[in-house]
Amino acid sequence: MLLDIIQTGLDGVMVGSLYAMVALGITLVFGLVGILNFAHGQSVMLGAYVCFFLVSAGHSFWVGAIVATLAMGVFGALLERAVFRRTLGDPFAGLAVSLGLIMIIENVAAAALTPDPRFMDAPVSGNFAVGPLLLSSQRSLVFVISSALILGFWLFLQYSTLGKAIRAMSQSRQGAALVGVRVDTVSRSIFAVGSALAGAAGALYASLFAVTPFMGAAPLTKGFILAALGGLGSVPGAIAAGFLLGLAESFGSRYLSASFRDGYGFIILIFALLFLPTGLFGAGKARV
Amino acid sequence: MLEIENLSVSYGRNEAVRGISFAVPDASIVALVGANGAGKTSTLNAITGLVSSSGRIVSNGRVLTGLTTDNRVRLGVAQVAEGRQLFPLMSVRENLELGGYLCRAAESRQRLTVLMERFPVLAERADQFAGTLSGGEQQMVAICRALMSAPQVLLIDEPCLGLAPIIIRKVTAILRELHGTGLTILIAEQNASFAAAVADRLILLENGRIRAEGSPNEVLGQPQFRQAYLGV
Repeated sequence: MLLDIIQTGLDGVMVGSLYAMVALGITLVFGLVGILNFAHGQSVMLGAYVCFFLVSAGHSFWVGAIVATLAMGVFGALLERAVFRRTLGDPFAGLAVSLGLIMIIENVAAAALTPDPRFMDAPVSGNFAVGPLLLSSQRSLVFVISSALILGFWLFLQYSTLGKAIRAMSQSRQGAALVGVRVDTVSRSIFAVGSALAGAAGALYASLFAVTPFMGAAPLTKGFILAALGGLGSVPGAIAAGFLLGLAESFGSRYLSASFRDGYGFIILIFALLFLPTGLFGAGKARV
Repeated sequence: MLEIENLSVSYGRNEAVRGISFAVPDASIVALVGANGAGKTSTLNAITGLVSSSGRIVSNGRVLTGLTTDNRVRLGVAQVAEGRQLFPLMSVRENLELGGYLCRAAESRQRLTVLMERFPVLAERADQFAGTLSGGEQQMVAICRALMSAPQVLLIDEPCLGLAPIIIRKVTAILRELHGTGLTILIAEQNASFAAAVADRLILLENGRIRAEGSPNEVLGQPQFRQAYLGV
């Protein structure tokens, strides 16, 4: 029984790291720019396709993942320049535009790439044993990559000059401007960084699940649950919420019902909104 | 020397500042005084480029008009904004380090050491979140954060807003100390008695226009002063 619980917990942590990565991009953009970018899931989907096509063309998964990350970074910067920059003063307009972008990007992708699911060869396969535990090699790899990206990003925010400037901006935009931070430039670059994280998550998703034009919906929904659960704008909150959701889904599927897997996050969110309305770590303010 | 010529600031159709001109001589303290909505904060924000404006702004011979805020900071203009605008969830040390954002790391470290020696309370509170400090301590951090960029001109918006009288005396002492170092200081202040106590000159603003200008005694004794503050 204990072994089963540990095994289930490890499965949850592995998936949770991927969820945390998606939520990180959403909460980062909201914390700094104040826009809930619903098109974030589409960056995950496009990143998955970029990785899929590169791997299908004979490149390694690593090349596919890096190109997907960079390509989505550029995509995010273009979206900011073409669309979101014009809606900065009006969060509702930004919200409406991002909802419209979901329709456009999904339908263009479906028309151009067909809605058929595509499967990519994972870079590693099979399972390996750690004592009595049996772990999926690919899920373990996804966990290591996403955890490394999350940790790297957190260290960047905590200790680099630009990272501190980003945190400062999330707490006082005017204060940051007055110490010389180019707040407009940082806002733009944060769109690119958020989208790049979604691209990396897309490549990792593609190594686990089918790639389709509509695959962005699940990570998007979960990403928003996590961003809200962690406290919108809170990076540590989004990360903790990601792992919490992974664990809830894993334990719920194992011991309650696997068919209700996607519902556990909403149950947690409802309880969180009732008892922790400002997020897991308590503050209502953005804490990038 | 800070020179302002024909400065205007508008928010949509509302004109907050209407073509004002004045100068802040080197190593002096000048205070913009006036009631709420007189245009004091808009004037300071225009000088640092936080709001767009028309007119000409020159600091130590360099034209600031049209430059971004970061470039104005580079040219030696720093501002302590209304409400202090600290980073409440960052430590005092991080707040001060960010004050030297545009400086070289070695310069920034050196200035931080000097400031902490000059204001020991900063060293005592270095690892505490800025948002947990008292109002007076926050004001001190805000002023020191602005000093981290080694400005030639320091703008301070409402330095005693929300502070107890005993803390206001401390802020007065800090401003006099900075005055003694030769820093050029422009204050926007609603509390006229505080402004008169620290400034060499007062500029009385009303509805975005200069109503009176001169030494504190000259301005406080003028009928325009009573008109601007009391409406009589």
